[in-house]
Amino acid sequence: MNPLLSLELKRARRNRRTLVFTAVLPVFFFLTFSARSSAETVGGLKVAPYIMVSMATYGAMNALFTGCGIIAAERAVGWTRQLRVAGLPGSSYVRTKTFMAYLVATPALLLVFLMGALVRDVHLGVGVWIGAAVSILVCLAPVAALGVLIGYLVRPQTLQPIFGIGSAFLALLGGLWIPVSQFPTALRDVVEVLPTYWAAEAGRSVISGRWVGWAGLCVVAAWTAGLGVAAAAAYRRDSLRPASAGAT
Amino acid sequence: MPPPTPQVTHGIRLEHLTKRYGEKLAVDDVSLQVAPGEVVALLGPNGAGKSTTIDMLLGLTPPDAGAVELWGLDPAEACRRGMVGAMLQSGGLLGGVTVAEMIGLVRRLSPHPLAPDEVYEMARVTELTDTRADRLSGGEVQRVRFALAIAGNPHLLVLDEPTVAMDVATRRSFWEAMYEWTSSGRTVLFATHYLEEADQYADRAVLMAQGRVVADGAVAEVKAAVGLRVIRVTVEASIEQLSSLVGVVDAERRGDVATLRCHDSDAALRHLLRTFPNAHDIEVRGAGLEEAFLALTADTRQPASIGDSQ
Repeated sequence: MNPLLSLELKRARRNRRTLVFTAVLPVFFFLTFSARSSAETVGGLKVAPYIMVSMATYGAMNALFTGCGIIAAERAVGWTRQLRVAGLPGSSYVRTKTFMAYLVATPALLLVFLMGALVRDVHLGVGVWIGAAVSILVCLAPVAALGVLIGYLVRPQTLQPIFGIGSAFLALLGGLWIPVSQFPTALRDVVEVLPTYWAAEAGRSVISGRWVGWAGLCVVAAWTAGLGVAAAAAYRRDSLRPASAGAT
Repeated sequence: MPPPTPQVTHGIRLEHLTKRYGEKLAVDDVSLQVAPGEVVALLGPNGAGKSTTIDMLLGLTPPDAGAVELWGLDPAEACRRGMVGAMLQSGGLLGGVTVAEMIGLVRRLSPHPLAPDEVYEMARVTELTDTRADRLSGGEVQRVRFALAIAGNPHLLVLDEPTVAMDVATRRSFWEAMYEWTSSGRTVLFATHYLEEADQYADRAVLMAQGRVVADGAVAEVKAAVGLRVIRVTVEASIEQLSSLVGVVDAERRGDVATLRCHDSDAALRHLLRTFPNAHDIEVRGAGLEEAFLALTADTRQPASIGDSQ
């Protein structure tokens, strides 16, 4: 195992608060929004499973976004330079951070699912639960890439507002907070080019036994490729720049 | 007969390194060779290009022109082989992990690490191993950073102004630890703007100013070359008169107060008092490195080769 990964695992085990904080808001939203009108259907699903998928996606999205974006803070204190001199290639560092972000995203997502099963009577087969979880996590890859991009672009001081605004933007426009069917028509076209919408859609189609469709997969693939290339460029640019600009 | 072992004559080899940031030429055609086992001080005022040179040496910043070799290898490759340890100016620590875990990480990244106890003892962090990095005091952070630099048992140790934030006691204990390390015949390059640190701990000093190497030689020789003194005196005399005094390099004046930069302040003072008996409020002090560099760079744009250290 990559030595950094084993250190990060120890760190994550010690820092379980991050996990709780990541999961608390989506769980709260889910329980609140799914409290009534259980007989209605949204997008072909009952309200509870629909919102369950939205909030599970929302929680996982936040974990990936912040987990990869935190690179900005580690860069600023010079930890990434320290690792480079110690012999860890930058690409291993990025892979480790992305893996760790997924490791935090997964329980956040599963906790919302668990609430769905226990509190809101969402009953699904084991394969469907797993299929939905995996589909959501895979289709959130662009968000991880966006996190890495931001991690290599911004200063740590601007990280918090970017997390706040970016997460709200992705969740709201991706239809994670409010079902897309309640959006004005003009806005729906915008929603359908966002990867967060398709991540949730992928989860929902698994639950309702549908095929999500090529259009959605193309959107996700395009965002992953585009943001991945941008993140790689930002990473290379960063290696060209001393951490403390101005010092010699 | 066994074949002769290939002899690596250069640990560090910098060839015509140049780096520009926008308009500013941060490093201007720097060439430098350091033999294995040498302890070299990279001296210079702020803005001299020391950190940029070190970043290029470590492969953290690619040069615009020129080449770097560490033991014949590309710096990134040398780092991957655990040959390099560094204490950088902004070399931060990771929050949420203990000192021992962080040292363990660097040890595991190196193919030939030091034993943990050896690292702890040498860097004086034995009592800190279970402490989390975010709970260390300033002086402790520096010791831990030194521990991280040596944990991989590197051939080359690079320290970028390691004592800059240390108090006097921490500074002394740091250099003691450094001295132990260098006494085992390892190569060290450290940047500093304290002449006395170079004087006490380095075999050789390389002076940089305005992105260039302006002097390179044994520390004592370099020290003599930059060991200017400054006389401040209240006297009625022209700049020309003052500049022509014995031992004076140059002079300037503001009102009645003249400042004389001297390579021999004793001779200058005797001459001054003989020539201007009413000179008063006399103050003699050692010139700072910056003043010394100004004198050196004003004299010549060519690197001054001092002594014969190579």
